[in-house]
Amino acid sequence: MKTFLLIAEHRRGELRPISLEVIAAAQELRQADDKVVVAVIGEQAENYVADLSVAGVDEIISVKTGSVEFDPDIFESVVTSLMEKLDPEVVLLPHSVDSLGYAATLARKGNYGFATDVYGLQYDGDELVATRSGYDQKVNVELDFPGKQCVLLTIRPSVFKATEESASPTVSVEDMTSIGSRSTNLEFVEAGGADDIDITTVDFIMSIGRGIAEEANVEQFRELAEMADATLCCSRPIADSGWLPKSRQVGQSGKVVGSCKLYVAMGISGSIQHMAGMKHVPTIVAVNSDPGASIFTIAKYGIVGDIFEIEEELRSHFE
Amino acid sequence: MPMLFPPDISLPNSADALIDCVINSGDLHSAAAVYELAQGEQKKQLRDLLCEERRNTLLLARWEHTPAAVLQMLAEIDDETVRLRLDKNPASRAGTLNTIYKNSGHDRQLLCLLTQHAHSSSTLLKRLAMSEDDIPILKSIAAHPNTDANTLMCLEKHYPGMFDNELAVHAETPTELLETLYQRGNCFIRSAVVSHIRCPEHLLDSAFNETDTTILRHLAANPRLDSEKLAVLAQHDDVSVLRTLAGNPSLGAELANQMIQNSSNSVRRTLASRTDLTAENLQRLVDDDDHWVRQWVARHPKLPDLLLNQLASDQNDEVRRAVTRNPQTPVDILRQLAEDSSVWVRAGVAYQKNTPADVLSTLSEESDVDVLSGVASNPNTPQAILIRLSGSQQTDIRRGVIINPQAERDTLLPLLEDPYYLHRLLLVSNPALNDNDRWSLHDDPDLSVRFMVFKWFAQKYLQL
Ligand SMILES: Cc1cc2nc3c(=O)[nH]c(=O)nc-3n(C[C@H](O)[C@H](O)[C@H](O)COP(=O)(O)OP(=O)(O)OC[C@H]3O[C@@H](n4cnc5c(N)ncnc54)[C@H](O)[C@@H]3O)c2cc1C
Repeated sequence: MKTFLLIAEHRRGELRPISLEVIAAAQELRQADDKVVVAVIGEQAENYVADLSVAGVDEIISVKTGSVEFDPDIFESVVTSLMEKLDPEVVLLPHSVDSLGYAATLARKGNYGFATDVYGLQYDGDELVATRSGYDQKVNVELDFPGKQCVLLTIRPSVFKATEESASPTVSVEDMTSIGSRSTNLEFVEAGGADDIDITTVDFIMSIGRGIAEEANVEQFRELAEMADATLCCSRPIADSGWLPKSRQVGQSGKVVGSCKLYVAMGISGSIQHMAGMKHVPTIVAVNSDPGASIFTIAKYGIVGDIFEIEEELRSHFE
Repeated sequence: MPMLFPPDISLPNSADALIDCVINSGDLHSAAAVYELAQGEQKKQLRDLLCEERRNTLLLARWEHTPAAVLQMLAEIDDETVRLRLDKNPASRAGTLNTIYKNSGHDRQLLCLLTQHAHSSSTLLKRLAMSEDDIPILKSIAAHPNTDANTLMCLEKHYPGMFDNELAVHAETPTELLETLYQRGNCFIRSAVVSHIRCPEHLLDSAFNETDTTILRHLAANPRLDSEKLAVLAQHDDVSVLRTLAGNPSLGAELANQMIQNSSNSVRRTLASRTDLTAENLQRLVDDDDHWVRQWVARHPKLPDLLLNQLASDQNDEVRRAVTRNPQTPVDILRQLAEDSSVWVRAGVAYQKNTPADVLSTLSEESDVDVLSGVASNPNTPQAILIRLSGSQQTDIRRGVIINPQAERDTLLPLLEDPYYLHRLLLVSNPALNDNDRWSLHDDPDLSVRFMVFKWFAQKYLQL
């Protein structure tokens, strides 16, 4: 029997969806007699228990600490203490900025096996094999961890499909409010910036490229995106010209739109650098007047045509 | 990485010296860059270097930057995979595609790609139309913008009705064929015919009596409609027809000003960018409840300062942002908006070409990446600030300085060592730098930077 310890993540009072994806990832490894334990850590940890009570979870540990939000010192200490208690074979964390704050330290101190940004998991006999990418996403790398009693992995978002089936795992409460932190929270500063949308978390994106020709045309695609309930994003030339905020740029030097399910590319040629940010999206619709545009090689639906005509048709449809 | 070039090699002083430098280095990408420049023995040596390994040949056949002359040379190689890659490479020219065709051996995949390539000539497309009977291939020919009217007529003659979708939108489709398409087509084909530049007058008249809104919408966009027809369409009750009409350049001031009363937001949004509106109607749009209408009118090229001023205090961020992007917005309004509470509005000011240096200096004290990128790329930004921004930790901001047309050599020099290869790549063609500055990148660790350096010098010699 193996024990899997999973760490849930929350921010500003909401459970982050990746927490449920980590639970889904654990199901790739577990056998019937294994145990999946999810720990949720924070001053109001108990608030997240109901959302974490899904199929595949055997136990939830609600760890009360002195900090409402994530704190790397506190998380590191809490997870260390849970690991001492549970002696897990595998610890799964979300691959996120929070985990980056303490996962590597934890793995180094405990001399555990460690891999980040993992998107494939399996057992080869008794050996745990984790898949991540290498060489700038060009190759899949399979890693095993010979001689390691415990392996700690951070799980890539939007890969494992979260279950919606609810369940009734056992719930225990731990009080670790005495654990202190080296940092002090002075005030909460709302992330500033020209944009309050995090494009890595949205599921429907309409993206514009140089095909829109001039800045004045951005407006009509903004309008269309609003009508369609999509988030408007762009290729680099658009962000470089200041026509949309940098935070809306998709691609190698922009963002990877991890949660996107539908990506409509308007007047985007499909450079390697742009595709690095969106080629994983399950449904890509490309509109381009050039039938040879690279974007069509990854599109599920391709329209060889003028983006302004398609925009007009879509607009009439929404009207 | 092993060193390709001897250390401290100085800028070659002739085309021959440049090519020798490349041959001695054995650098594949630099060889591709100077290939067109070379003659005789040097050309042969470069060819050997480029084709020595099949792996490299395949790589060059696909690479987006491979010069046309190299692609042409690769097309002569008897290798099907190379041909396939050349066929897919958007940089392949008509000559290269002709060579591929000659050697294609009627490979269906190759032919299909040829009919989709933007540079396939009308002669090649015609030849393919005459010799092929594969429907997807013929369909691509019917859709190809380089296909001429004769070939389109031939396709229609041999396969009547098979390519109506393609023919109805093809710019070269002759008038008589458009008539046939209109008579037999569905509403989408008829709509395309009505929008066609060669659509005969009497078909426009027939379309006028249609009831299908898709056809009427396309008709409403046609600038050839006379004022009588425009006036009748203005009475239509379908919003999409009215919106399209509102954007018709021939609508005329009278109708446009009448339509401003329309209750549909999307009609007023379209009208808001028209230049033939009266001052009274512009005021009406500025007061509109719909923020998209105000956003459109805020970009209006003839909006009086008074109205721009009103919109500069609009409660909607995007409207104020649109004011910053209007090239006519006066400096005092830009000053006011430079202190706006929204970062995206201040970023709009930072990118605006009329923003004066003192406002840009103030904005340069901010920390937001959009504001700072705007300041960095603005030609009015003082040089001292560009120097400061060129040391920013943020790549986007440094790139702003690199693309600023007023950035001086001294400002740019430290950026030749920028860790981001794209920045070094962009600097190769920057006119503020001299040839020695550029040459300092000839042994760059990044292959595309080296390629750009040698290509830049090769072009220079080719133009002599
Ligand atoms: C190191 C590095 C990092 C980079 N990072 C990124 C990144 O993160 N994100 C990114 O996007 N790029 C990035 N780039 C830039 C990238 O290489 C491309 O230059 C860029 O993606 C091209 O943007 P585009 O597709 O909008 O423009 P283009 O390549 O110019 O394509 C415009 C397309 O619009 C089509 N078109 C034109 N008019 C119409 C019309 N009326 N109707 C329909 N189609 C039309 C054209 O056929 C064409 O295919 C990076 C480059 C480098 C070197």
